[in-house]
Amino acid sequence: MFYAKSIAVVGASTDPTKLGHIILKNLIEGGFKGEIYPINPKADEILGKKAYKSLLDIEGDVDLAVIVVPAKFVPSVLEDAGKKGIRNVVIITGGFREIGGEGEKLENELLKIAKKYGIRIIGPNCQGINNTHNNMCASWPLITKKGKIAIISQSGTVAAAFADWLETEGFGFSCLVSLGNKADVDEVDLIDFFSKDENTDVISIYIEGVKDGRAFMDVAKKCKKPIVVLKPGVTERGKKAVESHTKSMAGRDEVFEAACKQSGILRARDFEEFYDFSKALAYLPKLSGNRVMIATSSGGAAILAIDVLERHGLNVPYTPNELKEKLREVTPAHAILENPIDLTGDANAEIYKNVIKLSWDYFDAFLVIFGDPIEGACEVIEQCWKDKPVVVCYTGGGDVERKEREKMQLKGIPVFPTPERAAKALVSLWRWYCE
Amino acid sequence: MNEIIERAKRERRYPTEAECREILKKYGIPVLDYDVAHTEEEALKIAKKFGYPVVLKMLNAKGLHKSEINGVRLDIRSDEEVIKHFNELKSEWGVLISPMVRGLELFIGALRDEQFGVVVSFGTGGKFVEIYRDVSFRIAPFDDKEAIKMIDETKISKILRKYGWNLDEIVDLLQKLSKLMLENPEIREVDLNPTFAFDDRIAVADARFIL
Repeated sequence: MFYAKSIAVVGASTDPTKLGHIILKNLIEGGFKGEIYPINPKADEILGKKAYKSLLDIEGDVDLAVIVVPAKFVPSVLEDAGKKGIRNVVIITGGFREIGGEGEKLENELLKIAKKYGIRIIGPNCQGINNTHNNMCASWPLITKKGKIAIISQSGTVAAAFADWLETEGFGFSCLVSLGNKADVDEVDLIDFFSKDENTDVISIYIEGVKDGRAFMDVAKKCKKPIVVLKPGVTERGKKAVESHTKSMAGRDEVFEAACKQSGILRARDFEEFYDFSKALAYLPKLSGNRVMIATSSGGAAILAIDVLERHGLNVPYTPNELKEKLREVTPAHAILENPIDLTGDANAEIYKNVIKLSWDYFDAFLVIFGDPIEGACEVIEQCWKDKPVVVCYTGGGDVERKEREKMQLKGIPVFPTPERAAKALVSLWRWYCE
Repeated sequence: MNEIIERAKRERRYPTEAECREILKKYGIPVLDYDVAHTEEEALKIAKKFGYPVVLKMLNAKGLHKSEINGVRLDIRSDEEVIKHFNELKSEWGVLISPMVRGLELFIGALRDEQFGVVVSFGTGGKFVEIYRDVSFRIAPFDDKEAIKMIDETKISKILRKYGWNLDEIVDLLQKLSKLMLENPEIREVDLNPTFAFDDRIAVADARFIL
């Protein structure tokens, strides 16, 4: 499915506003290395590729078919795919189980055909798949930046926004899978797949309900990589909305919470945590203890971070006297050396660097807050980037901040916009590596 | 299938509290002393056996919350009171009589979840469970370590630990309740509220099963 070498787009269109055109275009422009076959009975050529009347007309082998034709034609396309020997299918088209009645019948028909030929289906009613490591954007928007996070989502928009943020910050993702109705392939299959995928380090899942709770727990327990889950439908009203969105059963939230705890899943409370936890686990070094040092130019920002850290089991211990003596040599006279090390507004990059280096052996992690326009922040962090997490918050730094942030992101260093978000990123490492 | 449950199912009803207690005992779950009276004479004899004060409880086969239908009479201290309340509470199932005791009220429960199967819960018990919402959950089966984690997530665990209660007995009860639920798929829900923690032991003081 994800490492297909040849793809057919059934319902490829000459109309640039149609999904059948956009997906074909994204596959081509995304640099897919294998054969691409547009299927359209009325066209001879689309986007420079020879078009075929049906899957059965293609001479070569096809690993994956992406289906974008109207719902009522999907069963016959699936039948063709089976005859052609295609075993992986992504169905973008909606109008199945999610509309009830006729749609439900149609979806059951698809499953029957799939079973007959041994076809695996992603969707229907989904936004496709994108494996950056296979240059295969069978989805939209076109995103090509390669990264380490696999995004699995029951919401097309949540996945697209998540992917878009990762690309903007220079991280990219490994794979993006839009689950849709989960007629066949579901979160359990995908956790199993990505736990073995060498290009994926973190599995991030937005899900509205699980079909088989036990299988979900079993596969998650076996997975050695961090799994971050965002699952809404916590309130009674939210549960109702889940039912009408994806026909999933939101279930009892406290039970899902217990399942996460028992199978080592990190549950994010909101979209922001979902993104930050994933980013932290994929791009920060391993954490091996709870002692955190905060180096800051802003006292207020540091306190906001301390409250989050302490509330979640991390410690911000007072600076040992021995270290204080050493720090006095390299910091301005008015700096406060009690952790947080408050270098105040006239701090510069050099001071930050000296403070972190001298403190290195005394702590397990460093939360570095640049709360003013401090030039050279990127170089400091780069030089300190070793075997312990250095979590950066850059805030209130105007144009200098924007420039430095971009530089850090280019080097693969995560930067968080608020002290609380940086602190929570550290909390996610604590939960995964230590708790 | 457990014969008590089988009988209740056949008769299209839920087990009475007395029957629930029988099942619990079969699984080695500690239950507060009790007996069932069908006549005034029996009621007086049982009250005398336990000594005053005692508690009288209505028995029903509908899985009702007894306190919500005024079916629990606490702190009964004389023969006259026993007779009065016995007659108010009596039904075809008789009236359940227990010694009146004081202890820390715990909530212990179990339910069958559509997606995850048997779920066991622990927390602060009593009438106001829904208001305190101090309950933690685990999906069965789980090991003793997980049970301790579950207990420690609640506020009441801090009281238990502060006063040196032995958590092993609670762990043991949670494990036995898991077993009961896993072996009896007809039981949908179990409420053991309150379960009392005394200085030296714990005991279930009320039991309600939903089939």
